[in-house]
Amino acid sequence: MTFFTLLYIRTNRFSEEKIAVAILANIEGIPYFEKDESKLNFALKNLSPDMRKLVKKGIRLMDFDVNKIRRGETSLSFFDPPYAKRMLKEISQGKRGVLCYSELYELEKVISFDKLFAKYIGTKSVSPSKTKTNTFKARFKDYIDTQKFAQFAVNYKLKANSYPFIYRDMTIDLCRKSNYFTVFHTVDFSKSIQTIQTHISRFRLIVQSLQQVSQEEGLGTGRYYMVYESTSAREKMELIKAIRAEKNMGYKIIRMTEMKDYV
Amino acid sequence: MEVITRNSEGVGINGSLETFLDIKADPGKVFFALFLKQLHLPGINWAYHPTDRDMIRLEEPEEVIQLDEIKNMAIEANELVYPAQAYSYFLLTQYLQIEKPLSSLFLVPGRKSQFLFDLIDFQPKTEAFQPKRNGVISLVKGIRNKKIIREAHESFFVLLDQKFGERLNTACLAWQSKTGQTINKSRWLAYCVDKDRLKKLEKFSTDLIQEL
Repeated sequence: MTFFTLLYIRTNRFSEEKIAVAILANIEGIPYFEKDESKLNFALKNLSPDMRKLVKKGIRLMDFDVNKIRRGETSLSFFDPPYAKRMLKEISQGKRGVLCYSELYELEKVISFDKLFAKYIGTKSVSPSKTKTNTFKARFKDYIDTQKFAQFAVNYKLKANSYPFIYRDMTIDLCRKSNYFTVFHTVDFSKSIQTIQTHISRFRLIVQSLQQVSQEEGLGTGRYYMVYESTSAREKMELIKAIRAEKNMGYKIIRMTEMKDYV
Repeated sequence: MEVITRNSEGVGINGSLETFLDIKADPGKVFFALFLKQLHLPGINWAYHPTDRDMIRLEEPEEVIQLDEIKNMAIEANELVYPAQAYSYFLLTQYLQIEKPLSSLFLVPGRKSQFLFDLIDFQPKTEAFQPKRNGVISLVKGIRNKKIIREAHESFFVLLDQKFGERLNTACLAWQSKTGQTINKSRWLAYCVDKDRLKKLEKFSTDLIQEL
């Protein structure tokens, strides 16, 4: 399912002149926002300097907020189902200001955002997903680069010879050993189901192994977190739900943005 | 104020190239304008239509931003001339049980921006009054000087007094004479100056201010 609205700058209320400068879309539950810098600059020339400043800031924040979920900074947004469509429908009703939206257009098919952008705004967009923080691991690395996680070891190695249940060396994304182990380990749900399954199994082995070591060393049971990021694919959401519902696994599945609450 | 021409959206311009919009006359909008005036909130200029008794004429603002849940985020209280107006507006929309007040809020840019309030078509409601937070409250959260919120709170409950009831009464008479449409005056007056609702709202607002 794809729905989208175009963002116009209307330079004059009476002449109805408007320039489509950006597109706001929801494709399979993932929000997208992209603007065309050259069209935006052209449209802004027709506005007063104060309005220009306000519009620029508004668009910058819109860009920042809408694409947050794609950058992995948040998993909750206005665009999370079931609100996404209602939200876009509501905002597209405001037709009276300088910045206004088109109707909400809906397509049964999933269309790539680049295609939509090229068709209605005009210039090839540079997808934020192609910027430097394009993988979950990279976003995770950025996320933990704060004082809060300073006491954790990044890429903590488990040697097969020193830990039970594991037969080849393994690496934990983030681990802290105190009176108990605190472990954060990412599973990228944008991968194929087979890959996800392999990673989940590995994580389970890690948990079992560390629990055994904790027992032998007289430590607490430990806290183990499987870290994920929102995904739009239904079957993967179902899988996340299923993991969440499982009892007595010895670990929890949490969103990356929730990590700071578990430190 | 004679309109000389209109575009396809019904937006008209007069000889001075000022922009107008004729909309269906509605007592809710007219009384809402009176509330705005009473609370010193700048509303869109309007007048009864000079020839068509079923319509009112709005002076359409030219260079404004119409707010919504997304654009709302671009506003910072310290960039507004009168940030406390957001709280008065919040209280007003609660009091009149208006569900989605954000899109009736315009931002007029300037060195510091100002609000301009649209006329909202409200109706007297019979369901239980239950004040709750809405999108407008996020505009208030950024106000660091809580004193101005408290002042907005106090003046709100002072300004909607008995005298305001008298002004509403006059507005009802003007409505009937200008449009030729009768309205249930006592119902509107009872709803617009309802002490019970004001009292509940005052309590809600007092508690809310503590949390902000």
